[in-house]
Amino acid sequence: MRRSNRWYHIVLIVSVALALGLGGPCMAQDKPYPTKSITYLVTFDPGGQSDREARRQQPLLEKSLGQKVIVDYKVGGGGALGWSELVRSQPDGYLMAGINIPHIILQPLQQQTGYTTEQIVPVAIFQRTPLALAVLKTAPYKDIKEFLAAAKDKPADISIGGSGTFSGHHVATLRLQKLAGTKFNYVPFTGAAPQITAFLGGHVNAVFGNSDDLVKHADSIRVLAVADDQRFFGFPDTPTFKESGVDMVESIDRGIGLPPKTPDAIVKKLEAAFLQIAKDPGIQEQMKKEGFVPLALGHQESKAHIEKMTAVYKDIVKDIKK
Amino acid sequence: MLKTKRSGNIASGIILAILGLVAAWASTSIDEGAGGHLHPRTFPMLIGLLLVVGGAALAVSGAVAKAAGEPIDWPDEKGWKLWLIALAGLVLFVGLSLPLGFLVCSFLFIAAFIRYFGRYSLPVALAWATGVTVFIYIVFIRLLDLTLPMGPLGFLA
Amino acid sequence: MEAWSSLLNGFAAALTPYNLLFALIGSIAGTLVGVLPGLGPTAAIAMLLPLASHLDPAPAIIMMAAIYYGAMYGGSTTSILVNIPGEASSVPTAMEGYQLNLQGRGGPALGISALASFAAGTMGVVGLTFFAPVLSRTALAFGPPEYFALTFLGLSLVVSLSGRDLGKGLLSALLGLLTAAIGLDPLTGVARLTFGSMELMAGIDFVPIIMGLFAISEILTNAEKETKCILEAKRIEWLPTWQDIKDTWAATTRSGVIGFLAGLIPGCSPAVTSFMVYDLEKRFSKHPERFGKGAMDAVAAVEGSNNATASGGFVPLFAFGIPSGPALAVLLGGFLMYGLQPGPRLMQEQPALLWTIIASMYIGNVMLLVLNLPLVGLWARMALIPFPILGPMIAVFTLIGAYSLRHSFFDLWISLIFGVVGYLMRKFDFPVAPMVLATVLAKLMETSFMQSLVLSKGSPLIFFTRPISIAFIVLTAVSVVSGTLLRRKARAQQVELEESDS
Repeated sequence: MRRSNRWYHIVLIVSVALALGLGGPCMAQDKPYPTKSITYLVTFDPGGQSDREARRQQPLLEKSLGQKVIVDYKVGGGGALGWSELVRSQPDGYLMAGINIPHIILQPLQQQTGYTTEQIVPVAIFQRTPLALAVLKTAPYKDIKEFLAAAKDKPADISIGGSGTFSGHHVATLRLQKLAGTKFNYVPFTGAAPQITAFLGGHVNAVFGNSDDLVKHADSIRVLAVADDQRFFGFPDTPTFKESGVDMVESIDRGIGLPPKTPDAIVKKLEAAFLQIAKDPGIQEQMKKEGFVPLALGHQESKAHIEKMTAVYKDIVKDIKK
Repeated sequence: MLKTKRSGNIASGIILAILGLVAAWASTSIDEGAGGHLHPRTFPMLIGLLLVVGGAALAVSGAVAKAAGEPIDWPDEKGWKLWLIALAGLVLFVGLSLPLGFLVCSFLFIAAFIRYFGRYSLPVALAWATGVTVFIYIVFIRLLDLTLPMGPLGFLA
Repeated sequence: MEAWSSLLNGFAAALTPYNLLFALIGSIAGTLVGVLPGLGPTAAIAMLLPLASHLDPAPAIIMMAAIYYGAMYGGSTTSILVNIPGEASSVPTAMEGYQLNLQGRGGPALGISALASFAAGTMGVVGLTFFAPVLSRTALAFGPPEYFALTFLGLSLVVSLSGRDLGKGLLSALLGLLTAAIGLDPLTGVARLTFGSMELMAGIDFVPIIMGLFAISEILTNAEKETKCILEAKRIEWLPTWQDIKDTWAATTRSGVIGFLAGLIPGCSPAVTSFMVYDLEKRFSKHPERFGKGAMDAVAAVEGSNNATASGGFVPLFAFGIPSGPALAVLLGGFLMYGLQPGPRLMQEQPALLWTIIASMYIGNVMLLVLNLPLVGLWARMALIPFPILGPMIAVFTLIGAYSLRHSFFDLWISLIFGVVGYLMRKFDFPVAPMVLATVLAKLMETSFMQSLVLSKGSPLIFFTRPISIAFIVLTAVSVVSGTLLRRKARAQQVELEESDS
């Protein structure tokens, strides 16, 4: 008893001395993760949706992890630059990055990007943006059936606008083509804002758009079908593609990832912190207002989801690359 | 070498033409994009070739020009030395700002520059350097909350 | 008129002490991020979003809007004083304003740019108040072919920006286009000219390029010359005179109108607008020979158009929820945070909120003028700081600014490389402006060209069958022809001058 007591004192004195003398870095060995500030890497421009999500979570993460969370940026290559930095960094849990699906699946499938999908360890997925097919209110197609009938009548005549090539919107268009047995004229744009602007101006016939972009313009557009398992709360009267006989689910999902070989304990700790935020009714309400579907997928579920989507996209990409 | 505008035109023309050639050559290895009607290499290839033509034209026009043109105002030997030292200082600043952090680097760079180029006394140089560094700290790091590399001063963030 | 009574109600709401306070905070923060090179309103607004969520919508959005247009006031400061254009749209300001500063007229240039910002910015808000419903559909009229024609017109400005040697101007523009092509193809995502480098894959941002071409090459030039003080003049003026104001009011007014109209087009970069008004003023000016050597009316026009464009950008934002740039996209995020969707419905359901914001923009512009004018004399005294002290400060602020944009060291190396490139371009007599213009235009030009061809299934006729597109193509032709004629005339005059000299 006395002996252990003495040891206790020695350890205490030594650690206090170390803490006072050498500062922060040396305390790292003694206390459980996290012992210093954590960097939350955003791979898109400051002010974009990924950044805003990170800043929404930042104070809550700080509260639950008990450490400062620093939002940092590595912007470029549609996110690829940041993700390749992520997979090359120390798996100590002090650098995590926002991840976007299908970006992290499609980019490595397209070309050398400095990372592979499997390298990224997903911690959680907290937000879904279902894709939906929309036309202007003034368009002649009243529903998805009429739209597809018209497309079959004149293949490659109807133009569908989307953001980027090899992107969620592009792949969705290709899947629809394949499933419906027709062709569209896919017009890529450099982002959601120019895509929606050109759509509202009638420069393309239809768009595959993100749910949050489409709810902003609900007054002037007609959403034909939503590519989700369930109907989207923003357009309760719009059927899903599945209901309309086209079996496709397409969305942009946001989550958080860690470098490969990160210890399980760290993944668990961060998973708990992110899921706590994701399940917060206040946060969920805010996301819904902005047109997103709040999600709370943990590490295992996220991993399974990414694996499932990778298999789906590999098939489609085979067709493009031919 | 390169004393007059004429030789300057020849040299810059050749450099640009080579640059264009490199660009055009590199464009040949650009992958085909999906779905587009035009190959993604079209634009860089075109610019590269135009640079080759334009650069060559500039070089040739320099070569056939009768007048040598006005002299280029290159610095003298001392000027070159100062130029190189200024550039070296900038290179060191950028190279060391990851390990040492922006604050330390700014302090050292400003103090050294003032001392070397202005021949001010050390206290004056240090005073300016301290002032600017503190300003950077307060405005960029405290007020605007930018995430800058801090080096050994990480605890200030 | 309906707008009048709504506006008066808006003023009543905006003039409450609480809302005034947040307009003031926004104005101060906007001026600050505007002055600091590299930092812009986008990051500042994004940073304040979580904080703003504790406020009511009106003060929060008033503050964020004030940051946005306030940043336009600060943008000219470093351009004029130390030749650092913080963004592409103040490059023409740097070209003229810095020359004025060297001549001891930095103070008047700053003062005129504050006045022009105020006058044209307010004109823009007037446009927003009274003409928004009529003009809002402009935003939708622009599709890919129209944008391509617009960039075509923009590129034709190279002719008049080229200085003495048109060939070198064209080469400079090509160099800019080439730099912009590095990275991922914006449409297909294919890596181009990256030589396997991840860093190059992210592309070369134009702000580090501009900072290198202007600020870093300025430092190198002054270092080799052992400059003691950048000021060349003996006599220094601190404030603009009535004569300055008289000389520039017409330019300010013209640029206010053009800037506002350009602001209605979401894809039109403010930099394109500022080069266009610069070119236009050169043609209108009674003394075009002063351009490039310090033209006050150019400073007024460019700074005015920047602010009018900022105000104009609120038209598509309020009318359709279309943001014309990243900063307004974040501001839109601010609206969404409160569950407000800018668009026709918001106009009907929450007119009071929108009118309060519009009214606050008149107030904010007055605040910014009052904030900025007294600072002019103070700022202008920076020109007295000896170069060995000013130089390293310029370097440090430029490089930290370039870093803060994408948090990338690669961008700092780009700044240094282009510092040397800019230095060589000065020595070899290559004009820098065409390169900057081309860098800014390249992406929009290429993507809109490709999109148009996809839309037309490969037929180039699409550019000639749409009225707006045709109008721009005709304007381009006019601009090129008249620009060439002007060049001839200027050269003839110069020859005459040189002959009479000898």
